[in-house]
Amino acid sequence: MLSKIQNKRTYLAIGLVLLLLVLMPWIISGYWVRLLTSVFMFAVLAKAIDLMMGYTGYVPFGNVVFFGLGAYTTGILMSRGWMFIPGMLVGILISVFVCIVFGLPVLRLRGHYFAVATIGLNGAIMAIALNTTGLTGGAMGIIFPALDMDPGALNRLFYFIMMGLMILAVVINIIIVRSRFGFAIRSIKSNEAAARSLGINTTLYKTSTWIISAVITSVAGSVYGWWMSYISTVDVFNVMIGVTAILMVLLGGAGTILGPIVGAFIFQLLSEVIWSQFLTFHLGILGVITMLVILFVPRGLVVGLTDWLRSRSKRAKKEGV
Amino acid sequence: MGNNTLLDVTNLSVHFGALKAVDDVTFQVKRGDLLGLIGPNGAGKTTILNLITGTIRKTQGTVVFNGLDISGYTPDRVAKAGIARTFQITKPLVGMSVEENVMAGALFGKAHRPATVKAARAKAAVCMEMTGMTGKRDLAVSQLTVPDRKRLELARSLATDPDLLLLDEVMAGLRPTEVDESLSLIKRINEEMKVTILFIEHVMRAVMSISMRILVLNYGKKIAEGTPEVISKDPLVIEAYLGKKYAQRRTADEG
Repeated sequence: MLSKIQNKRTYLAIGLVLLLLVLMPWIISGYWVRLLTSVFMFAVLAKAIDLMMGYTGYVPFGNVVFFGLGAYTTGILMSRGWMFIPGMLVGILISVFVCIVFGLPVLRLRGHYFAVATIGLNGAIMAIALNTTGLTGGAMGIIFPALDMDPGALNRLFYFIMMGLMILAVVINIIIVRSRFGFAIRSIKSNEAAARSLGINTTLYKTSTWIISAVITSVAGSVYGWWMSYISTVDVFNVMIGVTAILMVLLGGAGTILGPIVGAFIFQLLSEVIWSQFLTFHLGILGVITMLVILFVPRGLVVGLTDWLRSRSKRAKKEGV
Repeated sequence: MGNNTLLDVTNLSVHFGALKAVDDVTFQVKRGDLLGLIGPNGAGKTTILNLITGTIRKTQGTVVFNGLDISGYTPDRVAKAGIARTFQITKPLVGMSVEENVMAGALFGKAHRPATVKAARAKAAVCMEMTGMTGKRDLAVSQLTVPDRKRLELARSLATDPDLLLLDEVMAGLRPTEVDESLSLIKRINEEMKVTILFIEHVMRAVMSISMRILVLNYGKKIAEGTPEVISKDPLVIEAYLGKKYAQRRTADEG
C-alpha cells in the first residue's frame, strides 16, 4: 500500500520535472539551454553505459568509440551532401558491426579484459580516423553543413532532440528490465556460471546488450556532431567522455532506471557551479566530492535515498504504533 | 541403445596433466531412474557432472542424451537440451529475489517452450510451492539460510523443466530432519514430476534409502553399480570406504 502511494508520488514528481524541462528553454538563457542539452547528452551516454555496467556487470570503459563512430560517420556523409537521418543510420550500422566483430570474441572472457580491451578499441579506431585524411579530414576534423536557423531556435531544436533521446534511453531500459532479456542479463551479472547452467547463452546476451548500448551511444554522437557542427578526433573519441559518464553512473546508482540520469544532472550542474567559483582547481574539488559519494553512498544517490526513505517510513510506522 | 535410456555415458575420461580425474567411465541412466552417485572424496563425482554439463571439456568419450550427442556442448546448450543441475556450493543469483531466481529458471532452461514473463511467474509459483519456498518468495537471496539456498537451487533447476536433473550434494550440511524433508522432496520430484534424477550424495542413509540404483566411483574409476543391497555388500565398495583390512575381516566373518 505504502509503496503504491510512493509510486504515485514518484510518477507525479517525474511528470512535473518533465513539464518543467519542456518549459525551460523559454525561461532560461541560451547558455543554460546549451548546458542542459549537454546534461541530457551525458545522461544518454551514462544510460548506455549502465545497460552494460549495471545490468551485465561488464564496464565498457571505451564506449566513447561509438560516440566517435556515430559523429564521424554522420559528419563524413553530411559533408558530402547526405541528410542527417540516413547519415545517423549508417553510423548505427557501423557501430553495430564493430560491436559484433569485437564483442563476440572479447565478451567470451570474464572479468576486466573487456573493460581494458574497449579502451584499446577506441584508441585503434581513433588512430584510423586520424590517419585516413582523405575521408575524415585527419587532424583538421570535419565541418557539418550549417543549419539555417536563428540561434535561439537552434538551441531549442537540439535541446529537445537530446531530451527525446534521453527519454528514449529510459524507455528502452524499462522495457529491457521487465523482459526475458532483462532476466538474462541480470542473471549474468549475479552469477555467470549459474546463468549458463540455466541455458542462458551468456556471450550472445552480453554482446546483444552491448549492441543496444552502442546504438544509443552512436546516435548521441551523431546528434552531438550536428549540434556542434565541427568535430575532431581528440574531441569525440576522448576517453574522458566515457569516464565522466561512468562517474555519473556511480554517483546516481548503477543498475537503476533513474540513477545514471540523476548522476548526470548532479555531476554536470555541480561541475558548472564549482567551475564558476574555483576556475583553477575545480576538477580536484569535483573528484573529492565524487570520492566521498562513492565512499559513503557506494550504491549511488538514488539507491541511498530510497533506502533512507524506506527506513524512515518504517521507523515512523513503528513510532506511530 | 534402447529407447528407455535417457543418458548414455561411454568411456568418459578427463585428465588434468597426469591425474586421471575421471577414467574410462561408462554408465547409463534410464528414463525415470533415481540413480545415486557415491564415492570417497576426490573420486570424481562432481567432475562427472561437470563433464556431462559441459563445464569441463572431456579428454575422451561420449555423452549421449535423449539420442543426441551432447559431448562438447557448452553448458547453456546442455541446459537447453533438457539437463538441469544444482551446485555443491550453491550459486544463487544474488541481487535478485527468491521468486526472480526461480523465474530465471522458468524463462530459460529447456528450449522450445513459450517463455513469457507472466508464464514464468506461474511456473515459478509451482516450483516454489513444491520446494516449500513460497513463503520466502520476496526475500533477497542474502537473507536465506543454507538449507533454503539448497531448496532455491532445486526450485530454480526444476523451473527449467528438465528431463534429467543432476543434484550435487543437496543434503550436505543439513540436519537429520532436514535430510528427511529433502529425501521426500527428491522422491516426489522423481515420481510426481517424472524427472529422471542423478544425484551425488555423501549422506549414506539418504543414498541407500531412495536410490533405485547406485554407482560407485573411486579414483576416477567406476568400481561398482547396482541396487542399494548389492552395493552395501560389495567388497570393493567397503574397501574404498572403510579400508582393506575392514573389508577382509568382514568377508572372513561372513565366510
